[in-house]
Order: sequence, then C-alpha cells, then structure tokens
Amino acid sequence: MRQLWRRASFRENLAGYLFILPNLSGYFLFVLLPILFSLYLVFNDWEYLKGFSGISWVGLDNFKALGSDPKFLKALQNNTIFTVVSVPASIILGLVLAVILNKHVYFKNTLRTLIFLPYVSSLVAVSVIWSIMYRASDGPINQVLRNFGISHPPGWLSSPDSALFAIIIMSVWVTIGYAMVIYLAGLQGISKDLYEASEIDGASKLRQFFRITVPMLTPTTFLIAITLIIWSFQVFGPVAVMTQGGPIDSTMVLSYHIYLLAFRYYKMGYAAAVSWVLFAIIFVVTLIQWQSQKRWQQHF
Amino acid sequence: MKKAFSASASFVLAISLLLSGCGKGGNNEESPAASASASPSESASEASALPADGKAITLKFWGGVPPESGPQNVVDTWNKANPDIQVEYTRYVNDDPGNLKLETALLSNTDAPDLFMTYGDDRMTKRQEAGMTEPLDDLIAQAGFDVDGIIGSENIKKFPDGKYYYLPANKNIGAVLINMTALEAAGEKIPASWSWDEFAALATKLNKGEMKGTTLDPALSTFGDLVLQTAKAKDSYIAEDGKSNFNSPALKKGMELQKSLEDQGIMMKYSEAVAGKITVQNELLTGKAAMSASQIYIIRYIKDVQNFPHDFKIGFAPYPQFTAGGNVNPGGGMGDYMSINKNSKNKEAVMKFMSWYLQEGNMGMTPGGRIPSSKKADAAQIASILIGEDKNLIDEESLKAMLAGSYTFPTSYDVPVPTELKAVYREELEKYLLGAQPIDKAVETMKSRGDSTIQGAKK
Repeated sequence: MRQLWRRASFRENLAGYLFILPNLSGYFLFVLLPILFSLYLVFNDWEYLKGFSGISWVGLDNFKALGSDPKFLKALQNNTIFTVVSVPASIILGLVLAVILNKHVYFKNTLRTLIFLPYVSSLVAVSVIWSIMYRASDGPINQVLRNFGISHPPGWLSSPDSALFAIIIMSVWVTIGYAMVIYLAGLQGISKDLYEASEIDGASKLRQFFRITVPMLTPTTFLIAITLIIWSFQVFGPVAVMTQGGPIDSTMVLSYHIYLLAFRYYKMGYAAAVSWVLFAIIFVVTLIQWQSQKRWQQHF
Repeated sequence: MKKAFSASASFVLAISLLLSGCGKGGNNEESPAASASASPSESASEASALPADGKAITLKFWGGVPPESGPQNVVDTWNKANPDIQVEYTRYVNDDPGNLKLETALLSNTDAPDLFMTYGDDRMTKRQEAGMTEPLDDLIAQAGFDVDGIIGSENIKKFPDGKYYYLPANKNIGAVLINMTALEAAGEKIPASWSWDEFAALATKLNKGEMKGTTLDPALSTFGDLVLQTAKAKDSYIAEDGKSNFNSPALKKGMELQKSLEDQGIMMKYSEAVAGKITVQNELLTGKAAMSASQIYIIRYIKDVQNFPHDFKIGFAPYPQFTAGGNVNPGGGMGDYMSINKNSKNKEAVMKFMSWYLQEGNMGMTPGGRIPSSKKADAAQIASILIGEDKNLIDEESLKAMLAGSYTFPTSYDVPVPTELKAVYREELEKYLLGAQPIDKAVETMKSRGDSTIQGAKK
C-alpha cells in the first residue's frame, strides 16, 4: 500500500478520479443505474404498486409480446415514415438555405437568426402554437387555404390521414435551422481554390454545387444525418402535446407508446423492452452510418 | 509529503462538493411543498402556536386540488386550532404522471404522505389491492366517527375483506348545463325529466349560427359512456355474466347520438375536439356551445368572469334518462377518496384530522365547487356558498332543485382492468366517429376485444 502511495502516477490518478467523483456519482446514480435496471426489467414483470417485491421473472415474454402488439407495430411504422421523410427534408432545405445565406444577401444575420430561432425555442411552446395554427375549422392555416379557394382543406391534426405529416412539417421547420447552421460552418471549410479552378474550367454554378459543395460537405452531412435520425426516432414532445398518438394511432410513435405503457398501464417490464428495442434501432442505424462513412472517407 | 497533502485536500474538496450537491438537491425538492403550505402571513402565528416542547406532529396530506381552490384554507383553519397536529398540504396533478408520482411517494420511506386523495374507483381498487392503504375500521371506531350517519355505508365501496379503505369527502352531482339566454330565445324551459332523444331535439333547436347545440370535453366523457351509465348505473362496462357490456343497446345508442350530432354540425367533431383540447367551460362560457352534459363543478368557472367574461345565466337540468322514470346521475357520486398510508406513523392523528375534515373541514372546499359528502351538510347553505355574489350568472332555482334531488349514482367498484377497457372503447369509438368503421363493426370489435381483455386479466 505504501509503495503504491509513493508512486506519483497513482497519486495523480487518484486526484483526478476524486475530481470527477461528484459528477461521476451523479452519472452512476441517475443515468447508469437506471439504464442497467431497465435492462433487468426487460426480463421481468413489475407490479409497480407493490414496490420492489412486485418484480417477477418472465424471461423473454416481453419480447414475444412485441410481435402481437398492434400499437408497437404501428409506432414502428410511423417512426420509420417520420424519419425517412423529415430527415432528408431538413437536410436538403438546410443545405439550400445555407448556400443561399453564404452568398451576399440582404439581412443575412436577421434571416439566419429567424431560421435558427425555432430550434432553440421550447418544443412544447412550439407545439402548442402549431396545434392552434393547425385547427381544422378556425385555424389560420386553413383560413388562408380557404381564401385561396380550397374548399376542403386538410384536417391536419384531426384527420388520421394528415396528422403524422402535420407533425413532420412542424419538426422539419424546427430542425432546418440546426442543419443550416452546421452547413454554414461546413461551407467555410471548403477552399475557394476549388471554385476558382472549376470556374476557369468553365463549370456552371449548378455543376459547382453538385460536384464541389455537396461532396466536400459529406462529413457535415453525416454529422447532421446522425443527430437528426436519433432526434427523430426519439420524437415525443410534439406527439404528447399535439395529438397523444391519435387520431386512430396515426401519430403513435415508439417513445409515446413507451410512455403510455409505463405511466398509464404500469407495464414497466414491457415498456422497458420497447425502449430497448428503440435503443437497438438507433444503435444499428448509427453503426451502419459509421461503416458507410469509413467508405466515403477513403475518397478524400 | 506535499503531494500527499494536496491529494487529501482534493479528496476533502471532492467530498464536500458531493455533499453540498446532494444537500441542494434535497432542498429543492422540499421547497415547493414548503412554499405551498406556509403562506407568509400565516407562518408567524404558526410558529408561536407550537407547544412548548416543540414536538408537534406534522402530517403530510396529498390531494389533486390546487391549494388556492380550498385546501389551503381548510388546512390553515385546522392548523390554527390544533397546534399539536400540523397538516401540510401538497398538490399532485391528477393525471397519469401525477398519480405515478403519488404512488412512488407512497412507496418511499421518507417524504411519504400520511393521508392522500384518490380520484376514481379504478385507481382506488389498484391501490387497495397493492396494499398501500390502511384498513380504517379500527381507527374509525377509535375516533368515534359515525360512518352511517355522516356518509352512509351504501356510498362506500365494500372491499372483499369487508373493510373500509377510504372515506369519500366530496359528492359530485352531474347536470346538464344550459345557456339560459339561448334557451329562452328558443322558447324552451329547463326540462325536469327527459330522454336522450329529447336532449338531441333540444340541442338541434339551440344550434344557431356560431353557437353549437351541445359540447363535451372528449377527455372526460362521450355520449356512449353517458347513455350507457343511465341504462346501467352499476359497473356499466360489465354485463351480468361478467363479460364486457359493450354490446349494450344503450352504448350503441349513445355512439349513434354523438355521430349524428357531429354529422349535422350540432356538435364539434370528436377528432377536432381532441386536437383542439376543448373544455366544457370554454365552449359554454364563451358562447361557442349552448348546452353541455357535465357536472356542477363548472360553477367554479361560471363565477370566474376574469378568465371567462360572459353576461348570461347558466341553468341546470338533470341528466336525460335511457329508461323513462330513471334518476341516474352520470358524472355524479362520491369522490375525493381519503385514505391513510399503510406506513404512516401517525395514523390516529391522521384519523382525527380526517374525521374533522369529513364533518366540517370540507365545507371550506364548497366555494371551489366541491360539495361535502356529509349527509348533515346544509343544502341551502351549500347553494348560497356556491352561488355567492353571482346571482346574475347562475340560475338559482334550477341549481337548488339539482342539489335537493335524490339520484342513483353510477359506480364502478367491481370493473376489472378499467383502464384497458376504457382504451378499447375509446379506440373503437374513434374509428367509428371518423368513419373508419360502421357502428355494427365497432360494437362487435369492442365486445370481442373487451371480452378478451377481461379474460386476459383473470389469468
């Protein structure tokens, strides 16, 4: 022990660990422990009101139940639609806006702030405002549509056909700003030489965009895609505030399904199983992206 | 040596940071309860009223009503008169996460409430089954509380072991609230007894221009539910054979009533009402709807002219009935179930407070629209407290008639898996109202899903 104490590296390490101890203990208590506990719950049935004595082992039953849970399957489908539509839309619109704002335009700073503002606003506040705008009979959006002569505007949140897309539109509006700001930073990193050289070779602006800007921004796109995909899979706030998963489960997503299972039906074990499925999906998607990124990077 | 010193110094620093971090967390959690329970003017007198040995018992009391709507006054009155038993009121929001918070607090060893309110038979059953509530019979006998004389044992659920696990503090009364100006303009009078068809006819008559004939808060009730309760007041979701009652003609009638009112534009579409989060008070008091099948508690909003500016009177009619001559009162019945935490250390003191609350204390909740459950409470006094200064906004005669009436209150003491059954009903109803399935298909699916849900729970 004494010898160990004499070793300077040990003492330095100890000091280091002690310094991170406050934060680390919080992490253990409030993050790591709940994660491990939820992993344990996946194989159990928990009668929550009986406290810890209400936990009983059920093996893989929770996972077997997934296949015959229509709400889970519907949520999986809705999550997929949500991600497949909203992520590319945010990326494309964000890129276009970034390229435009990177050139000389009037009110550049004002526009940039305006577009970024939704992203830093409270998602709940944004959802409340949008649900008022979406109101089918007296909401501003439908009133404008009626003024343009559309006699039967969509029901937005009150129709099972349009509710999911109404939420997608809102979340794209929120995330465009994020994509734009990251792209603006990425654009600064592209050497001007490339554009000058291509101009001498007679390349048009459009060609420059697709042959220089887009490929040079690949790492940026990768970053945005990963964060937005994770964000979109976890979508919860807008659903909880605007539709509660309705009408007819048309906006039921995994995170809201988990919330209902745990907090309304008290099926803690099953809810934990669904949340680990959600984790697995995000994990796999991210792994695939890492793999494909390695391939892209070889081109540079 | 120097290094060893610095290492130990940093260790001390780390520990102190950790401790202060924890300490702060604890304080933060305490503060909302503390600030809610002690209003500044009151705290001084409370401190001086404490007994000399400073050993006053502090009871924690959790309920769903905001402190300013009555509970704070009630608790303050008690605390002034009983310096040795101080009660601290904490509000929990009566929704899914709020109830989970209460239950988690009940499971904890520290900060657990001694006394808590439960809203709804389904939650009460769950909590009793989980053993969270103390059987009250011995405590009632000890305190000399006359259950039959004050509340009536017929108004309390009998649990399988024949014991009381809660005492209700509040009596809800359901009523159809009508905009009197609109009613008079239509040349109609407040009906004394009527059928659901007559209700639909009146709604059609009242439907004029911007004002819809009727409205419901979709989060609280639907016509299917209401009509079903007027047909079968006891355990309406369950048929006599123990299976689901979703094939009842009354339920079908209610669902069809709602669909036809919506299709004719007499009532806002269900999906729009859900998306718009409409409330009875808002629709009724801003003149967007003329009539609503709701409850007496809306009086709280009728009197709140700051948030709901209006100048018309609201009248009160009894609920329409499925069978002629019935007197079922949906939305009405005993509420505010008071139970004692099984792990409370001061059960006798809690019972003492509860006994006072049920006999006198809950009168302090009346201005907030909650009527005491006590049979001995004076109906005329309740009416005058409810109306207060607002005779120009509340139709006194019809309100007094409502309060004086005797009703059969729907109960659902013995419905298995009530949350799940309600979800089955709501999901299939939604599909029917949105035109995704016809009524017969809806009823058929409801029935079979309901039956298998009940079957699944029995396993």
